Amino acid sequence: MTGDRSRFRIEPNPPISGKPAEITYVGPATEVEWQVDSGKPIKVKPGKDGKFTIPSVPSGDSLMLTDNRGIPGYLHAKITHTG
Amino acid sequence: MILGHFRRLTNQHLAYEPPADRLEPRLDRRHFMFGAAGLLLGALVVVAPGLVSAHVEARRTPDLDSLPDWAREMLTGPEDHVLKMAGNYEMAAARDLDDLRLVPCFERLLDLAIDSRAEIADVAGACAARTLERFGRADHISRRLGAILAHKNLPMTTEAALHAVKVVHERQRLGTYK
Repeated sequence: MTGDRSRFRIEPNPPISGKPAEITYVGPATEVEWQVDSGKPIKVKPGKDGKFTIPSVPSGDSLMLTDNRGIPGYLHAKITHTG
Repeated sequence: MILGHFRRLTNQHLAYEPPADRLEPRLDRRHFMFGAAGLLLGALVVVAPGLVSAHVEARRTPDLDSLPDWAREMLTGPEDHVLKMAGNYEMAAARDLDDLRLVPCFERLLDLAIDSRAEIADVAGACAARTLERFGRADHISRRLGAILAHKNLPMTTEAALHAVKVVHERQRLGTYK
């Protein structure tokens, strides 16, 4: 899911490789997952405000986030590479 | 005199027979080679169609029991559920792109998304299109491209269709289109 329909928001969008990305989740799940390409899924518990940070976005093509509750709780974002 | 010499030579030539020890092994070897080639050809005629159909069958309908649960769910699960979980399938497949048995799962997902009028079909279709691209199966996207683009009034036209068009054009540009 992309854009306003997703329960996830990501800042900056698109995320930048090697830079932090702040994720905001607004939804019912207490735990969500993110994954870059074929990497292992990383489980995260968002804070009370629904926010969590990926300190350094790994190098890769795609960042995927899910709350395991279907398409509204899914975000696919292309990773930007600078320099 | 010259004519007589020529006759003698011709007679010698006509009368020539290779010694038995040189002739028979050659004939035996030739017979053996013909026999072996015939057997091989026969075996290919009998076995090859079976092998090809078995291969295609295995690719089209993988052994369900050997698939991970989520992939089995993609092939046999109810349409609504499969569309809903498309994102999770994309994430799972990204970790297992060597397993081409998963291709039919995403072919089904794309087909379901194309045929669905649900709002999530667009995103589900995009998950399928991206994953099929990673599997190198732009051919399936291309086959369904007409159907994808025909859904001009459905949400399918945005994300998945644009991605499908991009994939096919890129493959054609690179000459790697299957």
